Amino acid sequence: MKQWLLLALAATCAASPALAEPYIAARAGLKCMQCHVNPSGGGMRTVFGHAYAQTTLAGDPATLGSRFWGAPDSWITIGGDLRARFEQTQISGQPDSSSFDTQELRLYASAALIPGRVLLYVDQRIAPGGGNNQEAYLRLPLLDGRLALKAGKMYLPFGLRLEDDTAYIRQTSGINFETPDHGLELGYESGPWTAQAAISNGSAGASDFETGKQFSLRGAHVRPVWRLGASFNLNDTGLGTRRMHGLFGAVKTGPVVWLGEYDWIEDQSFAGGARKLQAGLAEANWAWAKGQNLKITLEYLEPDTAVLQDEQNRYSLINEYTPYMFLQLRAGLRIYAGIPQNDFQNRQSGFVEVHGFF
Amino acid sequence: MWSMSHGRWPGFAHGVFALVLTACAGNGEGLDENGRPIQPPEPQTSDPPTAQADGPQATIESIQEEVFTPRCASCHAGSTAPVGLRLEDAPTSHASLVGVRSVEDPSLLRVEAGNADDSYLIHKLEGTQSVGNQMPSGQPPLSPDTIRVIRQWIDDGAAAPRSSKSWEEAPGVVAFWPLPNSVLAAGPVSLWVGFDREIDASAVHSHAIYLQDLGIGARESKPILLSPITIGIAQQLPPGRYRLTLRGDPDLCLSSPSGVCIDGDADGRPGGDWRVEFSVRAEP
Repeated sequence: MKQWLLLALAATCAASPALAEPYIAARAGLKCMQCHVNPSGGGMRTVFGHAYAQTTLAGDPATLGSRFWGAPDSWITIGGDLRARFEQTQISGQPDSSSFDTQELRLYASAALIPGRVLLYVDQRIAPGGGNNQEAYLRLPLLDGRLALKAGKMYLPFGLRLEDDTAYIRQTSGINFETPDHGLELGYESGPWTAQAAISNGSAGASDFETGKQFSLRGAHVRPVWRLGASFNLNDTGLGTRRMHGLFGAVKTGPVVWLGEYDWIEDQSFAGGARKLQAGLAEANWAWAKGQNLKITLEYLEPDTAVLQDEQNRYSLINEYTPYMFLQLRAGLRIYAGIPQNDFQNRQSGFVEVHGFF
Repeated sequence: MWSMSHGRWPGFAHGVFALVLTACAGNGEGLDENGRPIQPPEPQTSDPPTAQADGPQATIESIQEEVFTPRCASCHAGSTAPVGLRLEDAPTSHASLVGVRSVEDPSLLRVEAGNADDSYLIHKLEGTQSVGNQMPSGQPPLSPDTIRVIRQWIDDGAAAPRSSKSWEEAPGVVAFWPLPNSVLAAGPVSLWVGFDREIDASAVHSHAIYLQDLGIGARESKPILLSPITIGIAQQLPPGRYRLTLRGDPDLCLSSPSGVCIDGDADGRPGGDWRVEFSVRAEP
């Protein structure tokens, strides 16, 4: 019955535009856009995304389901994410620190101004601090939905859109949830293919006084048990040119979804001179019980290929429990390993997080 | 549909994990605390080295070394630095912070020299920011002692680094006419100011350069700007006492093409207004 419900919803939402946890898409064998309004993932969920959260993600879908699937009106849909966390950190030579932290409260809204033709989308961060806009764009489907043009402020397409902005691949690429940009994006969706091409200011949210612009390309071939993609980004700034090349992919082996990404960056915009950087991620996601996901992540960062013995690693062990839709509980450990003379690069932290979403 | 059996996945996992684990952290040999190659010591100057206390000191060099580089520059560097805030070395950090308006809260400067309480940097570090996350994002907050040092640096005037590129690039006034307190026989139709380096023509506007009539009424004239260094005046100045001001304050300064404000008060660092007063004699 659940499978039929999912298939029916997939059929009804196929033309709608994508979850910021790529392993979920890989586990389901679907594109990001199946569950999120944004074709490259993250932000507001589609009706299918809500149904998936209720029927497949949740540990107990039967007893605590909801009829609310994000659409209070036929042409307006809303959504949101709240993440609150307690984290304790150990740094050698320093007293342990711990804190409660409301990491974010974001609200999403979209209005189908002309259904199937014009979509207005807003992603507004409400907390912490005062509100600020993250995304605001118009989306215009073209050619029966195979193409879509976005204009406004948006997250840029590059690699795996992980929820964790502190992951090396997100931090080093500089394309993450902290750095939306203003510009245009053309998306392509057809069969197993998904692609996005964007031109934007390249100023990471700051005012742009230059004629040089940032070009982003991302494409992937999505199959039910594997996917493979590539990314490219060129940012031509007055400070220098920055080129990024990335490969990413995922494969499902039984209850485990494997994710991987490798990024190669040539950056001439550093004050101290040009640098070449590399960042990599390998992640295993094991659905060890209904509603449970155990995530093991190994990350690699080479901050400057011209400098030997400066590499850094990060190891994460995180369990995610989704008892029912709208709620996810996360607990994890992270171990950082860097050069021995830098205590901060060798810290450990543990956290417990509550993630509410709708 | 291809799928690996449950019994085989651990072997696959071991393979991937072994592959990734070979990419170990560096041993740090030959590197400083921030992972950069250790530079040979600079030639000794006349001042003997002073003992370095533990933790950051209230100088931009020390804050850079102990805070900005290890805690901030992994994101705030190069062209992808969030909101354009670059913190990869001391001169760049200084130029990116001091007197620069916050993108997130334009009512505040990132660092207002002499005023830590109203500097957005402090709000972001202490968690009282109006927008976005407390910094450093995804890391434990800075210790109160560290923030106190940054506050002190700001309250002490947020001095630039000693070898600051911005110090070297700050245009200074080297020649001008009329001379200070001179008395001109006839009202001039243009004033002239010469700098020791190029001025950004696009930064020359009526807020950055203004002529004030110091006489009764103290009205301002409206100069016509012919070039970065020649200031044309709409009409011949009538008799009176005048003050010409070139702004060096970060908000509205005359600047070099790279955006470094003029060193108007000749203290060796960017900033400060440059002024000259002169008089035009009344006709007999």
